[in-house]
Amino acid sequence: MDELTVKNITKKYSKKAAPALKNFDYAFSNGVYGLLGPNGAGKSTLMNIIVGNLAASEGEVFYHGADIRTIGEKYRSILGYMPQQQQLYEGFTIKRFLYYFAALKGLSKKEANERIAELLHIVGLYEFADRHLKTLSGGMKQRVLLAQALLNDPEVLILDEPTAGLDPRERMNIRNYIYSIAEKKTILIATHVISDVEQIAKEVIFLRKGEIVLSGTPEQVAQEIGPFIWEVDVLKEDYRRVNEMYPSNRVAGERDGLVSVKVISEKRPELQEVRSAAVGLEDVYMYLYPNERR
Amino acid sequence: MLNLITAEIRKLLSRKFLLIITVVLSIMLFVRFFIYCRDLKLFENRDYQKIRAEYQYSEGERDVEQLAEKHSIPAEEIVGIFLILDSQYEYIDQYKDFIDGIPKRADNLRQAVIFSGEKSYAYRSIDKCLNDYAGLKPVTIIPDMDTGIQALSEYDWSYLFVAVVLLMACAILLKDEEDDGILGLAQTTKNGKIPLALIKWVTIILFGSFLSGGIACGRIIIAHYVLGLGDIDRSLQSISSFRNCYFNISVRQWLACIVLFAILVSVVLGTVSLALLTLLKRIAISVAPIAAGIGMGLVFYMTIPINAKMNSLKFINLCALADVGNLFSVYSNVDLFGYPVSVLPTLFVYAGVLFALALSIYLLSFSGVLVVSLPRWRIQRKLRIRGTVSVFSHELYRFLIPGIGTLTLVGYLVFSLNQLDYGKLKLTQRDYIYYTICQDLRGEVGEETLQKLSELEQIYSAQMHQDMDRIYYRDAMEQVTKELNLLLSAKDRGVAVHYISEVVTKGVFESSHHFLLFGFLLAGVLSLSAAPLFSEDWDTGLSGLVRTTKRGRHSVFLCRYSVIFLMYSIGFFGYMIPYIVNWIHRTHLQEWSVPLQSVVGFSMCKGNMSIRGFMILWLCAAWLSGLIYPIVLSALSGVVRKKGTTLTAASAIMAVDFLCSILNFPVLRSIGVSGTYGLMRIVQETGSVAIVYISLIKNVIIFAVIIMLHYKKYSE
Ligand SMILES: Nc1ncnc2c1ncn2[C@@H]1O[C@H](COP(=O)(O)OP(=O)(O)OP(=O)(O)O)[C@@H](O)[C@H]1O
Ligand SMILES: [Mg+2]
Repeated sequence: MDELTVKNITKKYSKKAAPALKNFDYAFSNGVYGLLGPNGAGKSTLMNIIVGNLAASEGEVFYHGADIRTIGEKYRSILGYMPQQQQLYEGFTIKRFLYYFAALKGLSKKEANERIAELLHIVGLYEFADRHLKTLSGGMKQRVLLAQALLNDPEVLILDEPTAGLDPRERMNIRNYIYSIAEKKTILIATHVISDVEQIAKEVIFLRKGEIVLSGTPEQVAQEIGPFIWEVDVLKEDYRRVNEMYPSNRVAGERDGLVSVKVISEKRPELQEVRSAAVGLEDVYMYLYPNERR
Repeated sequence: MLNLITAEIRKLLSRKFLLIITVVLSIMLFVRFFIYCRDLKLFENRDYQKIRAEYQYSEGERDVEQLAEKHSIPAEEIVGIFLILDSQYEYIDQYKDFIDGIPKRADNLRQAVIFSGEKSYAYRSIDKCLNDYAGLKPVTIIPDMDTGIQALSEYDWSYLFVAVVLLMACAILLKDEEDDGILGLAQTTKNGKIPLALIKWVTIILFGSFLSGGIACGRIIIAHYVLGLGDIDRSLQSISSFRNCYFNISVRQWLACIVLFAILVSVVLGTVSLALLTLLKRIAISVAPIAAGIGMGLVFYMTIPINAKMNSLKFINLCALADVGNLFSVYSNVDLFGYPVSVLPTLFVYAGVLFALALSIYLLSFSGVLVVSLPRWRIQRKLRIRGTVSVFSHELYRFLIPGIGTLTLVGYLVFSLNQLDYGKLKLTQRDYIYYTICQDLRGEVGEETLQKLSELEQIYSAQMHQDMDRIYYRDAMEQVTKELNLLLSAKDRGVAVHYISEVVTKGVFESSHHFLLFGFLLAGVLSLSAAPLFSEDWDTGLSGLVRTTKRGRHSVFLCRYSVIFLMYSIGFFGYMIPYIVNWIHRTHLQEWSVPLQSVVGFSMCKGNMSIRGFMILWLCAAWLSGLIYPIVLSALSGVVRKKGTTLTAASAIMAVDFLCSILNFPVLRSIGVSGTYGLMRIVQETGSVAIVYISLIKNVIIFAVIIMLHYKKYSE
């Protein structure tokens, strides 16, 4: 059953500018959805529209078949949102910040006490609860924001770059936690870190200039891109030449003086011993967003 | 060393918050004192000097009209000056008698206390009194302008403000930036801390001295320019209220004393604050003893009579130290275990002891020798995940942490309590005569009133012998007749007016400028502390997050506005209630329900309204109008979403509005939001009661529209 349906959303920030989002249409059910795309692709714009922060120029968002604008408060009470920004209230401690949002989310005192203690443990900030927000590092602020999003145990969880600035250990912890709660929730994660969603995403959506260029389960998208990904082993000295011929490539590893290079190309590269390769999301990304600066 | 002190001072000055509070509160203090002085002013100092010169040459003969023409001074003013001069010259004779009579009075007193024995306090005081005055060199009394000195010897509350600012300054200096605890003084190294402690101490002392010295000097300058201090080299005893002073001291020295003692108080306060903060480590815990000490001191000082048995509590007291200017005029001894001791030396010793004690506690606890462990404080430091889930309390907290709002409100309450002191009517001789006539005429105006007036005229003219009184009396009668005529014409128009003395109504109905100024300040400062409630959301970008929460739209909106309403109302009514209380004191209750036209200034007004009705409407209108600023600013910050632009726009609106309200075009004045504060004058000038309704409705509309627009914008 679809929890959240985004119907044909278009967003124009101004009349003249190109739309930040064009006819975006998607249905989300329970599970993790990865939203990928380069800077300015429209990820944050989409999320702001889904959480009801921004009015779409065209189209609607439905939650269980009801327009979110008409159900308002009911929708917001099952919503958890972690925005992309990092500035927080100056004079607050972590604890006060979380209690403030617990108040805003209408939690009871008892719920708030339990939930905040639990979440502080999950994001690893329990000992820092009395620290002032302005004294926190970027990654810590990020985790405070994440804890805030989870306060009301939301059914719809929208995370805009949740792992930006986190160290590998925290990134892993958070990814695992998100996976553990994903069964009964609709979780949408916008990220630049493909490994954040690669293993846990039910579906991924690739955006470019406000449009979906590709979407589906990780296997589906890999299959679709599969024919265009090639792998070749070249001598280390020859790599420079390959790089010039096929700008869309990446080094996959080096062994015995041979470099294994993944080349992205619609046609079979004119190189010796080219074979087709196993496809990861990273390859899909490289294929969809070729290096345009060259 | 000097470099380090400069660095600490820079630390203080870099706190905008501290600076703003210091500047705003200083301005408020000065404005208050200025208004106070202006209310005391009856005539110009230079007119007084001219008339005094005449008075000395030609004693006895006074042709008021001729003098008025010669110096082009209004006759009433000359009469007033004569009256003062009379009493001053009378005082010269009286002072001689007073000094000469001391031994005789002492003898009489000895007879009276003979039974208490020579070892009693009463007996000893008599001897001491004799000695005290024997040391007084024969002083010459020179009459001169002394209203300025009277103003300066009024109880000066500014040390309370200095105490607050100093406490904040101490907290800033002691705060360790690294630690999130308020006072994270690392007490690991026990040596090498003393120089640092001394540097901080010197900084606080310098800061406090400049502040309190500056305020004291400012007051003197204001008193000098507004009222005049006279020849400052004359003896202090030349001012009749200082008759009992037994020091050989000139006015100049007395003024210096005022400044010095103000500085002394701030030195003691600063040191005590430092000591408590280092010892107790938390502002909240340290404020309590300071506040309790000052509060109790104030109660003792204000309530214990000077010669009471327990007067040691009154005089050995920081609040007495702050009132030294006045203490020079009091002859009293502190009863120290049955021995009479002079007040001023005792105070001095007390201040010295307190200071030394505080300084040593400070140095000891700063260097870690003296450590107080507060058991409850330990428990508090343990992490507890507890907090409130009420949006309102969180918003209140957000309003209060920047502190400007909090402090202003506290300041307002202190000031407004201060206003209550002026509840008693202070009447000049002329006003007194006028007031007596008024009291006899009180009641509904009609034919009988006129009759009563002519009866009074006969009685009084039979009684009046002195020239002076006759002039005053004529003057007062003229005024009463004029007022009665105005009231009678109102009665002819069918309004059942009553006669109320103008002396009584003046306090409330002629105070537009007070209201305007304070209303404006309140609205301004409140706006500044209210604006961040909304604008911080936009500045941080958190608005997007707040708005996606369940209660992030109307609840938050409502709570934020409630906080603003509540805080503003506390300030507003804190300021207004004293006026109303004063008014209730002076009037009979039934006079509240008589038509507004009974207040002479309003006698020409059209429309039906009782005084009470008018007051209520006016209060509502004024209350709303002051609220409009914080609301405009909040709403602007929601629309403009940039702090700088918001502040500029709001300041511009306020400036234009303020200009409108002080300009002399009634229309412009009543359009402006702050014009409501000057509404009383506008109603008097235009003679239309309807303006109050219009103003109230206008304010309600502005108010509602802004809130609605903001709400729409906020919740879209
Ligand atoms: N408030 C705004 N006003 C005008 N244009 C905007 C605004 N916010 C975003 N845009 C534009 O909309 C487009 C999409 O922006 P968006 O922030 O949604 O990208 P994104 O995918 O989140 O990028 P990033 O990876 O950098 O977060 C961009 O071209 C951006 O310039
Ligand atoms: Mg973004």
